[in-house]
Amino acid sequence: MGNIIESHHLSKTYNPDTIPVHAVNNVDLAVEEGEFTALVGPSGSGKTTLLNLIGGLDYPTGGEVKIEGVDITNMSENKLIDFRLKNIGFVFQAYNLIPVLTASENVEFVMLLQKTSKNEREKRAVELLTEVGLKDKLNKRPSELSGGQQQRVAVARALASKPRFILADEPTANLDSVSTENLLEIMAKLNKEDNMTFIFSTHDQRVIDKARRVVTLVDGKIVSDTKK
Amino acid sequence: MLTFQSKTGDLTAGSFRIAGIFRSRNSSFDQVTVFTRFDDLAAILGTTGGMHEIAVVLKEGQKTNAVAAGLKKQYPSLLVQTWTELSPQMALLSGIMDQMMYIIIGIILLALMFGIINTMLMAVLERQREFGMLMAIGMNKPRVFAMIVLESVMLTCAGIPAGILFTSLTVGSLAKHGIDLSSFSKALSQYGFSNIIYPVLKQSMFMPVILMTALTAILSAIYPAIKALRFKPAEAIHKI
Ligand SMILES: Nc1ncnc2c1ncn2[C@@H]1O[C@H](COP(=O)(O)OP(=O)(O)OP(=O)(O)O)[C@@H](O)[C@H]1O
Ligand SMILES: [Mg+2]
Repeated sequence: MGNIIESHHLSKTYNPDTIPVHAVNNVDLAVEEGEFTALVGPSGSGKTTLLNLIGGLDYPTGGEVKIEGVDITNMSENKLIDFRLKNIGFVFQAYNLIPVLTASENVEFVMLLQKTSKNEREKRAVELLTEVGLKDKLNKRPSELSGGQQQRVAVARALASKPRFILADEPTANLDSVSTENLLEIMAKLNKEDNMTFIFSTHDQRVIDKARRVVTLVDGKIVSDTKK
Repeated sequence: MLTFQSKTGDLTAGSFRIAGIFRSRNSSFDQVTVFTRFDDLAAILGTTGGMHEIAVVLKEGQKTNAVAAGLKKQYPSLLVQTWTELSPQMALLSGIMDQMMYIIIGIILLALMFGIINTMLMAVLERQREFGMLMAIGMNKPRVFAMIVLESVMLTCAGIPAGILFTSLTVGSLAKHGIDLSSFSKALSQYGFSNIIYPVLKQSMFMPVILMTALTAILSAIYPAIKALRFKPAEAIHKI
């Protein structure tokens, strides 16, 4: 099977003119469809920066990123927004959801951006929220949900756009151990049953244990890459 | 003793006994105006039942010119003059007042503009993370722009009815009781203005003011909206 994500000599240097920080330094990474990959490394090692680069949220200062063979490094900002909408699901550490919308409206929102019909949006939102175990919370706003429940809504939202893969930057950082396990289980299930590709960064050993591939970064470089 | 020119052009005079002294709110009017009985005057002037001037007071000031034109047509032998022709200074003063009002409206709209820019800029900067997230998951710039402008318009739409209600209540009450400016009465009565002012709300002013307000709201949302578009999703999301 081909790679969905490929990076070649990918680099991102902050403050190149003053005190350069090589947040991502010459990274070659290939991710195949169906992977369940953890990005680990000490604080400041460049995990967030790398995820932003392969998610098209930021421009590299060197090298390139290809998503299914399409080079996104030279895409305009507007094209990238559209590209992300069509191809990539995101789960962030916090503030994933629109506070004034209910869980199902949050999930429907991306489909609204994709101009999906109202019937299909509603149907799919219910399906996805049921899949993440929030069938009884459809009409709750984020403030009425626990942190773990909010992250599960975020996963459902990420899935709603039918992306090619999902990027999650420390999705469990704000969660207790039960919610962490719960979220990981849901992600693993989606990975196994729907072959959805996940790449997530984490500091949590229990989360790392669940991954099938662990990529370790130190000072912006990949120092180890193990598959289980 | 009052002297007049009679209808035939001769100089005549009559002696009257002062029955009372009046004071209106207009001192210049008081200085030159004397009331007598119509019949007494007619006898001295030899007009017997005729009169030399009729003042017409209209309920609606805007119709002045139309009514004057109508009267001119109906009575071509009479001299018909509007108040602006009779008293050009007054007309000028009134015109200046109108201009002043537009300047004041302009100043208020400018203040409104700064108010909205401030509010929307706060709202946008406060929600930097939210906008970053929205752009990250695929909300494009025209949509973000439209959203912010729409929020500003909705904010204004909520304000307009409240403003109209407040204005109607205050102006309604003042129109009934009047605004007492007697501390300035000397200056005012010299110009012939009364020292108690009864404000009126012109219905015709509502629509233009509402439209100007809405336009101001849209215009002042543009800067905050542009500001939001400059956010880089990668940075905005990780702002603490
Ligand atoms: N906007 C920026 N400007 C300058 N330097 C930055 C910027 N963002 C990140 N860096 C630097 O780049 C390096 C990598 O940061 P990054 O956030 O990618 O690390 P991380 O592995 O995600 O860390 P953490 O585990 O704490 O989230 C760090 O040294 C950081 O200080
Ligand atoms: Mg990070």
